[in-house]
Amino acid sequence: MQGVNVFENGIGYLHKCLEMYMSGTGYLLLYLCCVIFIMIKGSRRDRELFIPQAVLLLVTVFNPVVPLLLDKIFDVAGEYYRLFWIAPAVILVPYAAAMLIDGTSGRSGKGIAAALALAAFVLGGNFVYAKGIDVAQNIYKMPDELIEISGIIHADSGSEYTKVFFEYEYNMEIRQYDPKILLCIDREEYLYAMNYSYTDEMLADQQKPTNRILALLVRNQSISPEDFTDALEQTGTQYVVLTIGHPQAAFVKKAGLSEAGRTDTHMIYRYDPAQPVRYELVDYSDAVHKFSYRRLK
Amino acid sequence: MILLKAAAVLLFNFIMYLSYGSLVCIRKGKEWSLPLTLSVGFFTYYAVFAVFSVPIMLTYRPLTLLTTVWLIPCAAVLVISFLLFAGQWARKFKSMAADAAQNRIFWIAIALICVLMTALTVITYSFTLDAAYYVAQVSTNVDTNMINVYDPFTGNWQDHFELRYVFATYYANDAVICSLTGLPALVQTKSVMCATVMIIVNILYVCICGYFFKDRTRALLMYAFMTLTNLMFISIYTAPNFLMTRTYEGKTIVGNISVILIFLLYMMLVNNAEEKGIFIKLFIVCLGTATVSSTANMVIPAQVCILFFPYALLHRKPAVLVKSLLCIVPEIAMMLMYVLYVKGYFAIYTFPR
Repeated sequence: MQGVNVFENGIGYLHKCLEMYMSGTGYLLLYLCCVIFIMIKGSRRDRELFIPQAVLLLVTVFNPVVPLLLDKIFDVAGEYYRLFWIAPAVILVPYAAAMLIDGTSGRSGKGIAAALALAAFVLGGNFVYAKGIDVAQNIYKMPDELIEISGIIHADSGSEYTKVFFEYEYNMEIRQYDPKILLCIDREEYLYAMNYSYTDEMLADQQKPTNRILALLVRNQSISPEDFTDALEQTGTQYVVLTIGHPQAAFVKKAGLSEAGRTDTHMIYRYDPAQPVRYELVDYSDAVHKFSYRRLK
Repeated sequence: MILLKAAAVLLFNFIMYLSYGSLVCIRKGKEWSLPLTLSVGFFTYYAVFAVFSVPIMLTYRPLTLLTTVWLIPCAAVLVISFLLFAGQWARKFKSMAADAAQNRIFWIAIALICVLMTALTVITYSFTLDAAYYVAQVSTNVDTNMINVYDPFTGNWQDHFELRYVFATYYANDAVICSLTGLPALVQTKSVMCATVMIIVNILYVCICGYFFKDRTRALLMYAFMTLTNLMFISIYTAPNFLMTRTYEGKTIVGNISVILIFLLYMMLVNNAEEKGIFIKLFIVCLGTATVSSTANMVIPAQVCILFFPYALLHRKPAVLVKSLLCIVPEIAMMLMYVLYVKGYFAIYTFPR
């Protein structure tokens, strides 16, 4: 889970984890209520199905000490919430609701029970399409504009593979649609830039030219045009795609990049590298196809 | 044309799952369950696929070779299953048709809900960071004609395989299907497999409701509430959220198919107190899940222990304890291997050295 770690939170980790997991929904509480309901009203089979599991879940997965112990062996902080999936809320809560309605006598009684169950399901949850259904623009489920940008870059570059800088969303999406576009920034680097600034020492690091590109285009930190073009040269980046109105658009042009095309909301800038860049796949034709591993420690 | 191909691949998926599942689930003269056969078949398919794909991947052979090689077991299983079980399949479909004719409203309501849920996951757009790895992994494999040798995020060549993902060959299968059919990676992952997963989830739900309520109206009521739970139990971490918005991910299969199917197997054990065949199916589900997502390595052993250990203790059946422990060996082995990798004990290279 983003921003919650076992080391900082200690025994409170599970509580924070559960809070984020539930995010205002009451389904785990409903699950707990249904376990009690089954203990009282359930058949012998129902109790055997749900009760031992619920007890063991409470003792293990929902025990605040367990993540602390697990964290000593594995780094579980980011993924501990997936153990909550074991609690069969999606089975038990609907089963108990159906049982409740079925067990109530009389037409009006059943109606009231159904209304109560429905209210618990609806009020205790967050509707997945609460903000509306975002229908995909095409069969690729990618923004039309991203597809247009891909076409513009390929038509302009003339080479099979081209390295490009994109802003956040397109950076994450473009290679799903077009793997012939290479990216100068990977996911973790981009996420870092969205959260932290770059120090002078980081900007001066010649081994990490991507720091300068991110500092300028994501953090809007000031660097010289030479440092920027030098970073593009070092990373072999030939295109920079920015939203129209991006605060660094004028800087990018001043640094010598030319306009290669535009769409409704994006500008595509071309950088002509001093050293021609050519990307090719690794040639495996002469490789000996044997399993190759190495013990590192 | 793409849509036709996508529909054909969707149909092909279910034919393959039925064929693989029949070999595991159908025994002469015994009753068999179509939902169980299809869902166990799903995991059998991916477990067998891993056996073929991992050696080809780790010796950096091309994707097209894997595509050709994979056709052999698929064709063999299809032919053998057809010869052995065609009659049983025909009888099952005939009895289902008769049941549908008798319980028209029940089956129409089930079909409507299932189609609606499938359509929602197929037509909606959602932005997730994980797709930048998983879907790009498929498109990169198809483009480079290699398996997991290039970094999906950037397209750069990788010095060694990323072990966290390397044994999750679910996406390599998507790449094989794309390579075979020419289907774009995005259509295969975000439409065909989304529809496949959603249909299997709903088939399992109907099966579970049938176990709880013999009466169709009550079963339908429970099924409707299960659907409502998937629409309402939403935070970015819940299994229903993964099902509704990140259906193409292996994690979704762990949280919404494997966990439900293991519970169903446990229900069968409790209902019949009959162990025969259950642990073979459980082993296949555990093995298949380990090849779908590394999340399985944590979730599946925990679930199997939480369900089957108390049963073994309460019924004084040590054999159940041993069998369930054997079922989670694949996950434990993968987990240990991953721990050794992250602690820097070994790396598997993408080129001989």
